Amino acid sequence: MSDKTVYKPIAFCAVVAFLVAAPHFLSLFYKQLLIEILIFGLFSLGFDIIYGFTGLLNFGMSVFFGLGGYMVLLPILHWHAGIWTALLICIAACSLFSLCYGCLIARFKSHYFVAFTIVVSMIFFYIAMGQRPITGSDEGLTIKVPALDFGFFTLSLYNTMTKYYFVLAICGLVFLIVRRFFRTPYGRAIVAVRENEARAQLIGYNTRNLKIASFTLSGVVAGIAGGLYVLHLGFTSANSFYWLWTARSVWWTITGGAGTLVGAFIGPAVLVFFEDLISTWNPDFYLIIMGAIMILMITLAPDGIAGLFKLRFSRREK
Amino acid sequence: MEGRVVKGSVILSRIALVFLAVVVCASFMWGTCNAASSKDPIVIGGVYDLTGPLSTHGRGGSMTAKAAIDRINKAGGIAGRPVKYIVEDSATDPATGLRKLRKLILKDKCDFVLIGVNSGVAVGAIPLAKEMNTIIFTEATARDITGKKGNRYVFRAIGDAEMAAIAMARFARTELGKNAYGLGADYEWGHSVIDMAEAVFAKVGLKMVGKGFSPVGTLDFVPYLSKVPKQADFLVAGYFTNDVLNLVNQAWEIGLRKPVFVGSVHSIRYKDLGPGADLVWCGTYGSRSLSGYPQDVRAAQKAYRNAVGLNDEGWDKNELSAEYIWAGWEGVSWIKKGVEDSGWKSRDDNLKFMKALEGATVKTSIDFPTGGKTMRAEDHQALTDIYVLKAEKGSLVTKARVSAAEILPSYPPLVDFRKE
Amino acid sequence: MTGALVLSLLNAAVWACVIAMVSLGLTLIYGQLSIINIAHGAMYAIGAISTFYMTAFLGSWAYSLVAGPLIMAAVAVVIYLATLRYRIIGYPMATTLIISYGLMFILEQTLFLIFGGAPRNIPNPLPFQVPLFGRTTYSGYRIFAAMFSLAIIGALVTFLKKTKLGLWIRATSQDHDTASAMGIPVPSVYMFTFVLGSVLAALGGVVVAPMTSITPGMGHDILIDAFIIVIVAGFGSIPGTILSALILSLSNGIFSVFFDPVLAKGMSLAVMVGVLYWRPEGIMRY
Repeated sequence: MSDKTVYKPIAFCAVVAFLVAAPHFLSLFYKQLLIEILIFGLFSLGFDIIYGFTGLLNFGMSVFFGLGGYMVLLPILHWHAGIWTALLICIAACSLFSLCYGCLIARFKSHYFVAFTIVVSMIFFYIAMGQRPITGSDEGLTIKVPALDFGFFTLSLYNTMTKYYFVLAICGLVFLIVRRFFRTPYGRAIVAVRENEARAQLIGYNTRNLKIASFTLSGVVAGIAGGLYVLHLGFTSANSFYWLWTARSVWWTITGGAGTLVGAFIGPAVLVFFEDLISTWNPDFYLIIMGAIMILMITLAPDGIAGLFKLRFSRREK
Repeated sequence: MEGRVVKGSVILSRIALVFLAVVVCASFMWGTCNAASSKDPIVIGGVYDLTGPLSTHGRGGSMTAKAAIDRINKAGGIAGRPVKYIVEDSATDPATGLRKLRKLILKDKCDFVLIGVNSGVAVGAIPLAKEMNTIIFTEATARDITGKKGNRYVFRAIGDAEMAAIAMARFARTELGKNAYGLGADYEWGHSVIDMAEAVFAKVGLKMVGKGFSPVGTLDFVPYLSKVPKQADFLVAGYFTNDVLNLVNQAWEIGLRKPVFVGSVHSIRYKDLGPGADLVWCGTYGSRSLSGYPQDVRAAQKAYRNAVGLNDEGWDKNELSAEYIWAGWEGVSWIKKGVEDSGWKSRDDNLKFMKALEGATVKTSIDFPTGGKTMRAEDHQALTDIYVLKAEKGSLVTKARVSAAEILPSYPPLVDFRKE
Repeated sequence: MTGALVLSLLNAAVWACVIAMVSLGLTLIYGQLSIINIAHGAMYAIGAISTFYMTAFLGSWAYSLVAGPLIMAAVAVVIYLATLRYRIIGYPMATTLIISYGLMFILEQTLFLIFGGAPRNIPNPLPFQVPLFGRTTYSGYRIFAAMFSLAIIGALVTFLKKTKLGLWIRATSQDHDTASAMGIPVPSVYMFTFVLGSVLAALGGVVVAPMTSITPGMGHDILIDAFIIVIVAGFGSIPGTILSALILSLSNGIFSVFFDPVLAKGMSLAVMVGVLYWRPEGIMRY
């Protein structure tokens, strides 16, 4: 397609240039906003993997977000872990959890899958709310964010510039890994499951394993986002398990364009920024405006913003 | 594919998106260029719950703070500088409150921030205040705020849950009975009320025979009330506003007829307490009625009430009651005193400000209309009187005043912030 | 302990009736229109808040039993025609999910602008107590609320079984193409079902309003409970919904006597997970 080949590399370079240069000309407040956008983009990426690429609507993403957050916060709080250690613990814990969760849930289809994910996420929410000594319940826990240790020098994440590049690096790295993954045969097989599971099975794919793999990847990515959010705020609470977080990730991804990977970042970029803009301009009406935008968006552009520019990742022939 | 959109609207949507992108970038730039602001005014920020269950507290505190600032500006400002007030809504949610706090300090360049009565927000704000070198004044009454969770950057203009518990214990012993059962909202303040009561009761021969905590936002208290044992003589309830109404009404409905000592009766009217109204007591930080204040304080209190729109019975036109919300007004007065006494010019002088207020004593005046008091040096706690209110004869009547001096022997500081 | 258990079970049974009614509204909408109605909680709030205004302006709560449903019906018709009408068939589940999510924001924020953020209570319209045992009593109003909900559920079941419109609804639910071929005005049936489902949610709000505090956001928690009930119940099954509501509410009630109520809630959800695992298509296959 001609417009795709012209837009894509230019847009890509422009965006990367902007992201790298941004902290040098943005005010402190907007740097923080951009950091949030990147983290939410990563969270939405997790949702995009399971929904956009595998076709399963996981309406319980908040489990991973909350779990990832606590898996970074608790080691720092109780064991004085460094950042790399905490992140590794987070990745390990989320992988293990997502794998087990995925195995349990893989046999369900469509509506029942959604159902299960909702119930499980609410169970986690209530458990987290109830365990005040461990989780701090809805007031949460605060930590002093440790320094980023590179061996012979350290950087403080309290310096917003440093924090920004750190978050950018991790989000970028995960994004590239995920993108690479979906270009491998294994990744393409997962997309085949989304298109038509029965057909994929007939071809000989083990669809159950593919779904579990995708589910695990989705959970780890969302968990990392939750962990980064803790490093950003120095705080988390049981509310990070509440279903509204899931709804946000769904909304961000679908606005950005499900199944496109970049859509997962475009969604929050536009929406979080808009929310700040509109809520400052008119705090009373902004939720109504957001609601109206949601409805218009999904009605006029169901493939999201990225979809509008035909960036949807699909199999070659159509 | 299903839902394929017609060509025309696709183009329109693309144009709309590009336009949006331009607006977005322009706003980024605009936001950046707007960074610098005038050096002159002192900017005081407020993080108050303007919506949600604590909104009557939040709106009240913010209202009196703003009235205080308006009055000060008319009289020439603080140290000759005008004062600007910016309030943000924490929506009765700690995470939102912290986000708004960051915005006030980073974007709006606030020199001082007032934090409302939400203890969850306050406890989260304390480390941020230190990190961002900004002094905060809070109305939240959980004990740990001027205790182990506090630091030198936080000041509290109002009494706290332990002081209230000490006053309550004295009353309970003579009026209510020996055994108490505690029920509280499951967050910092709810726990503070019950835990402080338990500790204080133990020292005077009263016993807390059990306790239970319900999540913030619980609407049905029957599961919790059904656990109250027969031998409890009275209840201690760490709840505020509508939770108190629900608790008291639902207790009556299941046949529970024991007196209840509640943590807050802010904006609660006698008639809303239902048939069980006369069972309700409260240890709080001000008298609702003007007549409940001691003779020598009444003139200043009346002048203050005129300035903020409260009548002698303790109500304003927005259904806000008087016992708590003076903390916003006096918080601003402490800031004024600190700035003027220490010669504070900017946040580089924060240490001077702290030293000026540590141990400072003020007299009754329009600035401090609830009476003279001392700001304790070690823990930045204002030593205020506690008023014991009871619901009877159609309103919340002030039964007694327990002065700060009487409470002090049982209320030593838990920390010394000056050692930081 | 037995006293607490009896009280707890009675209370749980009362809430089970109310939430069954609300969940039935969700089941109807989900079963027939395949819409995951995230705005259902906001509709519940609309019922409660209209009750507040009826009580405040007309002096009696009883008016809201009629006015609440009427207001909700009007709003539901507008919403349906404006947003959902053409999105029922052939669209992915996420489309109507996002639309109803957007609606939730719009409805709740509108309620917030009208009503304000502070919770408010209305007086108990039936302030009498029913004696239970010893000195323990139970709120007469709550018993009425349960009876009322059961009556509405009964009326709904009768309506679906015995009237022509009810037959149309059931037929369209089973197979909308055949129903259409047989001359049933399927698009109108869809709209009617949506309105009916919304009204059931609003009635839940009307009936609960005197029991607790009224706020614009009061639908959030009940929404998720209703969802879980509907899903465990099975795709559009009405008896399943009632049974499911009973399981969730009663297990919560029993557990909360022995454990902390928050933990009890988590445990009752675990019971639901167990049921779902045992019967993934729902308790009663339609």
